[in-house]
Amino acid sequence: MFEGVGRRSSDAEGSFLDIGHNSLNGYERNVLFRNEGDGRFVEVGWVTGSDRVEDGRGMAVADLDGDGRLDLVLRNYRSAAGILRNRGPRGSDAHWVVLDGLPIGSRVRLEAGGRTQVRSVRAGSGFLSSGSPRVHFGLGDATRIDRIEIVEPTGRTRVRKGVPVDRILRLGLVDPEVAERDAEPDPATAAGE
Amino acid sequence: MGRLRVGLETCVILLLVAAPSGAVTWEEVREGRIDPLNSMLHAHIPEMLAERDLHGIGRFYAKPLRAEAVARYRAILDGIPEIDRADLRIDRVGWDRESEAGFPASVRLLVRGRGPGGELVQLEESRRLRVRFYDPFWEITEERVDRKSTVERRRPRFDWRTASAGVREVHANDASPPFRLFGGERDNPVLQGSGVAVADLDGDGCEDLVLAGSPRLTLHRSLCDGTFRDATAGSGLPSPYPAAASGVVLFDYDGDGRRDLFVAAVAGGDRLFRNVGAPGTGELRFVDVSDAAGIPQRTWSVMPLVADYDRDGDPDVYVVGGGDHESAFPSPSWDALNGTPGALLQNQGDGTFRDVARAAGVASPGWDLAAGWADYDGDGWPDLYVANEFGSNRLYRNEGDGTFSDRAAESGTADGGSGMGVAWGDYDGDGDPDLYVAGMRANSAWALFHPDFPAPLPWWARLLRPFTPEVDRRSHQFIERLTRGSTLYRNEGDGTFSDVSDAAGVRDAQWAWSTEFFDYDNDGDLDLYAVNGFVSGPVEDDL
Repeated sequence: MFEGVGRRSSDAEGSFLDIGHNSLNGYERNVLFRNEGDGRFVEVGWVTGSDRVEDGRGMAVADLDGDGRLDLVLRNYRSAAGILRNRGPRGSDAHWVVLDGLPIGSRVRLEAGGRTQVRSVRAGSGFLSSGSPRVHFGLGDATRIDRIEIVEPTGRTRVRKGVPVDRILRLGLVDPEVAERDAEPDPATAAGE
Repeated sequence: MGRLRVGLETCVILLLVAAPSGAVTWEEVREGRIDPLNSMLHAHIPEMLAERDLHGIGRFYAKPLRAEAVARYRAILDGIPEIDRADLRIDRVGWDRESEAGFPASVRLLVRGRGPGGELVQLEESRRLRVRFYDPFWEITEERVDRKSTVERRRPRFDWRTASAGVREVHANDASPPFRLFGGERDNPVLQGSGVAVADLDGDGCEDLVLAGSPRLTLHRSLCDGTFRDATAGSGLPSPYPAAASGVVLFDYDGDGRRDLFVAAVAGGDRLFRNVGAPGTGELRFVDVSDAAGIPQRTWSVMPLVADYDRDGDPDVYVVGGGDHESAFPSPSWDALNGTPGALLQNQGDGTFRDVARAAGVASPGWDLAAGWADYDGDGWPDLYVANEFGSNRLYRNEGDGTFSDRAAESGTADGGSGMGVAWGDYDGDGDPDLYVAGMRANSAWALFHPDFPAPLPWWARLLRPFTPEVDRRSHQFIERLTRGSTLYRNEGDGTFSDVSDAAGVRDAQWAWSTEFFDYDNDGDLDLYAVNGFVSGPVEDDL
């Protein structure tokens, strides 16, 4: 008659919780908290279509189709993996830039549109997972980046000024050819999407 | 009396079940009072709302309240004529504050569906109730809406793709030992989970995927249009994977320009695979170099994560060590210290690694599930946060001389909850990284504060219990910590952090695992995603 709370298994010796065919915090919907810019977040999983119901475990962030919008790869538990492709809003979208090829641990400080953002290159995060080693910046309506400062873990620092938006900047050691081009001092190595 | 050792017998899971002493009373209370209240609030009201049965809902309200309450629900239905799902979450019941009108209770109503114009709408209301018990039923005698918000969008932003993206790989981790906490039987639904890693492995500029698991650990090559092709066969990765592959990371350990693969696994399955593919040919090939590279084999590795902690230009690996779920219980139960110690594999620059965790002071002893590297104090040296499944977390500050010191307590990040995921990100744009620790929000936490709940206390604390409220206070603090959910720690820039989860509205990510800060709408600030859910069985109800 009533929904149960806190039942415990008594049949199996040494068993503390026999879930059996039941659920335990099952059928939960993944959450997406949208940053409101004032210290608060609003949960927008359902309205953005990102509230998958599978039992989650692993998850990684990357722009998998090169459109400048970050997608999510979900490695769900005992169900199919999948991609939440971020197709963005209809019509025009905010600007972005991606930096590729930086050593893990590099810190990037970007100034654009009167705002400074700091991001780092990470490898291993969340739970069991590792997202893209690229550094992604959303730029809102800024159409030009005033300054990018990259500090690598060794202390090596690079500064680029007047960088165009909506592209992947290949700055590192993806392959020898690109590395050679990167030896040039200016951002001419920028590659479009 | 110093620190009260609340002897949680095994783990937070046990909080959902009755401990031996007082079990008879609790069984009666649970069946007679807790279950009916849960049924009314958590099950019947949202179900009836979704079915538009306002008459039915009205019957849960005391007569003087009924018309007003029904009108409130009718307004919700007017705003969301097509309900996809309604959910009434019980936050707390004030078991010790009963009045004539009953017990105070705080709940959150979440309703999602479509608005009159077909738009996607989610409504959230925080409500304060009084609930009175008329054996065997409960009745709502007071109701106040504290906070109400709605969010809506014309169209979803994300598409879900599995088969069409070429990554329809159903997860299994058959090599995982069964978890003793869940009965230790082969057929129990709790086994080691697995993760995913993303990076360009063949140098074509498009990012490829590795999905962990066993018997299949798979490699998916990007076709550069958002779709993938399974490239595991012929890649040199072992199939079947010989151990319960858990965490994965991709990084170039030998500086040859190709990203290599590190797999953390249960029971001696940690492997380093060197990428020997020819760049530009689309060929993905790996060779197991674990032995030559000196990768240690451990009892229960969970996830690897990479940083150049000694800043010598080559990447090092921290391997999170978890509790041995096959044969051990967390001990001490309130703050597990008997996990597989964390390993810090220092890159020797010659293709080999050396575990320096003990000397460096980062051999975290917890039942750790997750960790994250970040320079939280801005001194240029990467620091490490490690989350413990059962108790205190650690914030290892990099001292810059090859050693670390645990600053969790003094920085305010010890947490003490059920840490299951770690993400660093500067969400407030002040330049320093903030920290989100995914944890467990137990659906039934509110019930565990009932005075008859046999709090898992040691015998001597039970003896003391009638004489001092301190025992219950500490016990409740402990239950609160373990079941409250996830925590957002704002970096104050002075080596300390503040818990801003409630003000920020990110406490409840439900039973959360992997989590990440990312700017999904490209507006220049970091949003936050978390996956959740523990076990979804054929029967939808919780235990």
